[in-house]
Amino acid sequence: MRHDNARNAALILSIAWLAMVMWLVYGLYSMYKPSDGPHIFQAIKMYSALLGGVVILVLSLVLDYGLATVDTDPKTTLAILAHRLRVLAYRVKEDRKGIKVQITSSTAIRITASTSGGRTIVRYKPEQTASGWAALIILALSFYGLMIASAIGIAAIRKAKNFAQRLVLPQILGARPMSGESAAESIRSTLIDGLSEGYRLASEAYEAQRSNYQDGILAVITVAIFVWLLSFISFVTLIKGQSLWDEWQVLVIASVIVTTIFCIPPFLYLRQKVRAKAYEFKSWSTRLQTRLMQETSLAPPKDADQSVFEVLNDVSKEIPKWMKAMRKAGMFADPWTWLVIFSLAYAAFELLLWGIVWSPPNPGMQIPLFLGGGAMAIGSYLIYTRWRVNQQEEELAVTASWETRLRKAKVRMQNHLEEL
Amino acid sequence: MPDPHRMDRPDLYVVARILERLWREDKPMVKTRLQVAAHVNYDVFTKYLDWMLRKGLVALKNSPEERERVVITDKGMESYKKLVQWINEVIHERTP
Repeated sequence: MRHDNARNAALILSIAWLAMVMWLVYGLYSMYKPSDGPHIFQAIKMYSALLGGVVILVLSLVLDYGLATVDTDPKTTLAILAHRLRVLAYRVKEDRKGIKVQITSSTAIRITASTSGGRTIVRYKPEQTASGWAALIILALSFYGLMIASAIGIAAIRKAKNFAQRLVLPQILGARPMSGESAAESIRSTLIDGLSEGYRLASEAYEAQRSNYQDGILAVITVAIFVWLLSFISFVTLIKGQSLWDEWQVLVIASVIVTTIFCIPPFLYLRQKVRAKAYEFKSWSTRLQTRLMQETSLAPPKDADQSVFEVLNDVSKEIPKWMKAMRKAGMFADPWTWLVIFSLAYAAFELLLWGIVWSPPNPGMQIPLFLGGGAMAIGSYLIYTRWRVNQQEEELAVTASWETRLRKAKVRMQNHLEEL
Repeated sequence: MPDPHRMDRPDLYVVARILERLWREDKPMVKTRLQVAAHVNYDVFTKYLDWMLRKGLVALKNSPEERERVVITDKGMESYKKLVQWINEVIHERTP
């Protein structure tokens, strides 16, 4: 069976991973055992194991696996599958490459369909959600964490295989063409599609906004530590030699007061604006999930409820706000660009630190370090500003086109009623 | 002189609310229940019902207990289908 490919891949990669972990442990052990040959060989052992980890991680992320061969065309196959998974309350995103379905908070599956020999071949591959990517990148960059990242990659293959086999395959094989639906069935399908898409967007906006809030809190804490240190050092320098130095507690309290004055306003802003918006998105997500459940379970309507049409209309007005939140969550929304920005900034920091701390007696070394560090810092800044400008331009364009689209749709609906 | 009960420009949301409620019901719906579900007062509801009857979106059915009931027609179903398809297109044509 086709999904055996995924099982075999997971098995082979697991064995390779285990071998690499043992090789890494042996390399580490050799580092502390001088009798085990020159250091260069010990380092080669360790780094080759890590390189193996990189290969395993990349393979686990790029390989895709066959699932089924069907007679419906690729577009229809994916449209029916997306709808059926939405009915099952999964978060489904459709794009040019296929559909992406969220399995857990960190794991997703991409399903694609292509034509071969007059039939449609459905394939799948494991993917990560935005938060999954962020965790994977952080682990992969943290040296030994790379082995954990590659283990997560292998686990994602297994999760994707189980999901594809147990859930996706029956939906594909038991699919009934949507074109054969009655008007009443078609209305329900469309309402479910709209509610599900709204639920996905609201949930992603909430996750992005929550990530924004957490990043903001982290930034405030970092700034608070710096402000405290800076004010403490300033106070010590100012009163050096005076009797107040003996009462160091006073200096600590004074530094805390300065830190509080600096950091409380941004902290309050984050709680009252950024977190409040996250709660607003969460409430939308919950509301849409509830309506989606009602719709899929065919629960009888309550007279107090808004119609789903009105809910979808409200959703269409909220979407620009949700899209804005998703764009603003930099690392969450665009992990690769932010990886480059962070890497360059970190490299700049390291080079400048080496230039200042370790090489003052050697100007021949210091100048290249400063130049390299400066170049990295400028590169990081330029990429950030370019990313920011692109985001702002895209946001303006999308908001404008969104308003036009919404206005046109309303005019079209109103005209339809008047021309009946 | 224009008829005060006639309506030229119906509110999209009220029409959609009434059509959606009728679409969900398996059988014809009593007028008063439909009015409650439509979230409008009885006068406004009567205007909308007249307008929808004239346009052929709904029809009246007499029940054995002599209470007039409202049912959605095929034309009403098609119209509501178009409305939900158009709003769904707006939601799906996003580019985040």
